Amino acid sequence: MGSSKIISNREIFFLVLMIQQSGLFWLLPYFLVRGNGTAGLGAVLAGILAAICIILIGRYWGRHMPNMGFVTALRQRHAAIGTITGLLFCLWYLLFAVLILYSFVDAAQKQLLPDTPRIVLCAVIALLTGWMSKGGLEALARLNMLCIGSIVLMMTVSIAGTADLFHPEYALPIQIQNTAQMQEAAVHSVFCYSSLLSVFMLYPASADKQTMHKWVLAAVGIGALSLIVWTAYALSVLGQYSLQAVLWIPIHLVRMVEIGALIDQTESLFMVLWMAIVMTIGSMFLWCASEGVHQLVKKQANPYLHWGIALLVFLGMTAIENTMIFLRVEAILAKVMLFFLPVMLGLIAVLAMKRRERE
Amino acid sequence: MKKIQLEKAKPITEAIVPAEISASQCASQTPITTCLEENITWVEQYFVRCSDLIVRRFCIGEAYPCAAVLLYLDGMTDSAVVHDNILSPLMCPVCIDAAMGQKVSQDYFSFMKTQLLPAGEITSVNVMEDGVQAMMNGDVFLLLDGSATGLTIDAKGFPHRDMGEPRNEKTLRGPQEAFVEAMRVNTAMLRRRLHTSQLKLEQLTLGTYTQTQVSIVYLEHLANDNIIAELRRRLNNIKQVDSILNASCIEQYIEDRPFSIFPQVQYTERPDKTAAALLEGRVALIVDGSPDVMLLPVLFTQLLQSPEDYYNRIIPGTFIRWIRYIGLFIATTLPSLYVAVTSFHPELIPLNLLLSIAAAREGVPFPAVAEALIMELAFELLREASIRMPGAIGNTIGIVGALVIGDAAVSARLVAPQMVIVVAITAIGSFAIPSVEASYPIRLIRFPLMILAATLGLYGVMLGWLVILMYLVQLRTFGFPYLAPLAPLKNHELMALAVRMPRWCMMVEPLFHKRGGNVPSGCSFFHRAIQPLKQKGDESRGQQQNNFKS
Repeated sequence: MGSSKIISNREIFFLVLMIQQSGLFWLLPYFLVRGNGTAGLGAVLAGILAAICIILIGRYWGRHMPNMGFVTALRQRHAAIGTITGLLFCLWYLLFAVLILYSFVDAAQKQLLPDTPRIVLCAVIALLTGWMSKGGLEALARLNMLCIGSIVLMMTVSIAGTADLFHPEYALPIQIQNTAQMQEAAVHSVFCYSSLLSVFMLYPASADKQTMHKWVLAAVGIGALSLIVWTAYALSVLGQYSLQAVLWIPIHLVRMVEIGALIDQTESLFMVLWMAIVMTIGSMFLWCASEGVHQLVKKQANPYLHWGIALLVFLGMTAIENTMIFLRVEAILAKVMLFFLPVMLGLIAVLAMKRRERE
Repeated sequence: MKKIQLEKAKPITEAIVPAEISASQCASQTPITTCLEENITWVEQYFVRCSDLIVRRFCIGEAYPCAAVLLYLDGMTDSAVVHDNILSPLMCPVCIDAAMGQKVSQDYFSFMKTQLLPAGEITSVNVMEDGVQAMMNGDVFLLLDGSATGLTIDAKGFPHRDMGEPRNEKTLRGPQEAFVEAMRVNTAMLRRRLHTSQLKLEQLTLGTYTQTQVSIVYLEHLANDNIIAELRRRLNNIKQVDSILNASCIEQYIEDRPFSIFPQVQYTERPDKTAAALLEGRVALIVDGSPDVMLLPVLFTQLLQSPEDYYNRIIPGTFIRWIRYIGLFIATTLPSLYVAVTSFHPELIPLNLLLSIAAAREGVPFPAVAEALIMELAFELLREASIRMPGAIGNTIGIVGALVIGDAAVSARLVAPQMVIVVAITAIGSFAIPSVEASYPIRLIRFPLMILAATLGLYGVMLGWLVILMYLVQLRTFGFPYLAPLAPLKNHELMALAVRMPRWCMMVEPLFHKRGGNVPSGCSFFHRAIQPLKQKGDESRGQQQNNFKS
């Protein structure tokens, strides 16, 4: 008989943490390049180093805290700092959930339902994602698995359909004077595509416990490779200046595709696929936030708590006035978290080690 | 003793309230007495106002006569068996007297069982309840004066339908026989295909009133122990229900989510399909009185497979399978796509086609969604009516409905001709689904999808599918993910789902298998149905694989 919980909550939560982290560690090269003036191979090495660090941290937590939720594990290492760090994680995921779902609402309203009040759309989406995330990460991972086909299709179509606009010289830093501008564009592209990475990286959540690490590594590798390819392709087609002005790069690329006489405008079709992906990713972040809060308050599968988190997401969505401003705020927070969280994790590890020595 | 009998019998004779009968049946164990008349009275009181009770009194032997009685229910037994195999030998004084001599009174029953009665199965019983239970199963209950033991003699002969062709699972190739209502006939059909002692048939009785015989059938070395144990547990939990009239009654008690529109067990009327499922490590449940055998667990993808996939050659088999997948997509989504595209996304349609659609819809007073709903509902009505009607009239209704009403509706500008085409293609798509139980959810989800398409366009269709998929990935059947091998992804099984692989390529352990199954296995129905099933495995799977390849 199959078990409904193939992998423990701790592993699941950590897995998701890794997913998000791995989406962001690609920014490290950018920060390093901008901060130190290094370029090229140094940035790539820094990225690889960051990825290895994340995987090693994952293995450490997995081995030393078996059968324990990630936030619970943090708190056990050091109550106060662990709680703060856990809370930050939860807020971070909540923020991502709000951002992703708001983008869905924004796109749906602009594309199709300009007369429908935004609050209605937000309520529908919050309810739907609340229900979806209630099914658990394993179910979300399976759903994502079905979505991977849509992503591959969309990307293939966008690449095949815009091949005539492909200019590889746009993506080569050696021929460009203003590399910083190109890096900015690449980071913007990474932000757009990083949510797609989550879809790839959720696959291990439904794998067997024994083979999970292998799948995580494979997912990180495939996701990273895809990210590089897509970013480079987007740069090659749109160029660094146009790229920064585009909000949803995959959709913009697909919009440029024309599929003969049978289907005149593919935009709506692919927009729908994109929405499906966004919905599942939003549900995943909502689940992460909910799971973290459950661990913070030491409760298990409380429906009121879960729907409370969904309500927060709804309120967050209704509070946003401008998507671009929100994106900028999110980018700043992401950078803060990127440096702050490892410091907190390290601090917790050191404090725990000292406590062990005392004991 | 008599007093005891009357006390036990009293509630039965008085009781019109069924609960009292069941209570007495379950609780009491009335021993057979040496007084024949007392025993007869007990049985008569038990079957009071049951006109089919036959009480046949007679005398055994002449030299040493002994009063005896045969008790059975008319219609449940085979008259020829009762006459030729039971009454004739017992009422032949020459035989009895000559054979028994002085030992008649000492060991009548032993003599009857071993030498006199040419019946297949004879069982000694000591309590009346066992005797009457056997009578209700079609046996004959024999009692002798002076003996506190009775005999139940197999003489089953209740009427049942002859074996015929499958009605709902027709194939062009392969066996053309179907299960019937009699459980023993069905088990025999399976035994005929699986000549192995590994085929186990665990029998149990369910339903206080119906006392329905149910068999759990599985191949011991292949079936997953956890599934069998869980099934046993769930069946034991429903032993005290009032009635089990059909396999579907059991389904409602044992499935994981009773309110789900998606079936969590599979029914089949084909013995070959059942045998293949058993070889996959699945479990069959045969219910007496039901011509459909229940197979469990079932995955959604298995509901889309047909035995014919494996009877055809590889490429045609694969082609047919993909036609069925396309049929599934059409049956669920085509009307909603039509509504969404015509109402919200006309830019997706080429200009010429768009103009043609617009011209045809000119003068139609309803929006596309109303048209679609009306036509789909009309089609569902037609389908229901043609099923209930006798053959010829059913066909007529189908023709009248499809041609006459459809044409009239288009002529009257009530619906656009394109909508008639869409509904007709949708109907054809739904008929391509080989499983009856899978066709219901497919027909049902079409309607909410249409409404969502009418309100949110393609986004609505996508949201609807997202909800359906999310529900399906959460669904489990006896612990197995319902949407496997799609999610969670199982590469080999997924490959077999896409392509009907050659039989010698099917060497993957099926999802349901107990590990260490000693036969090379595939991943879909019928992958091993014609391969020889070995007794307790001596050979490794690799060796067998080579054998099959060679």
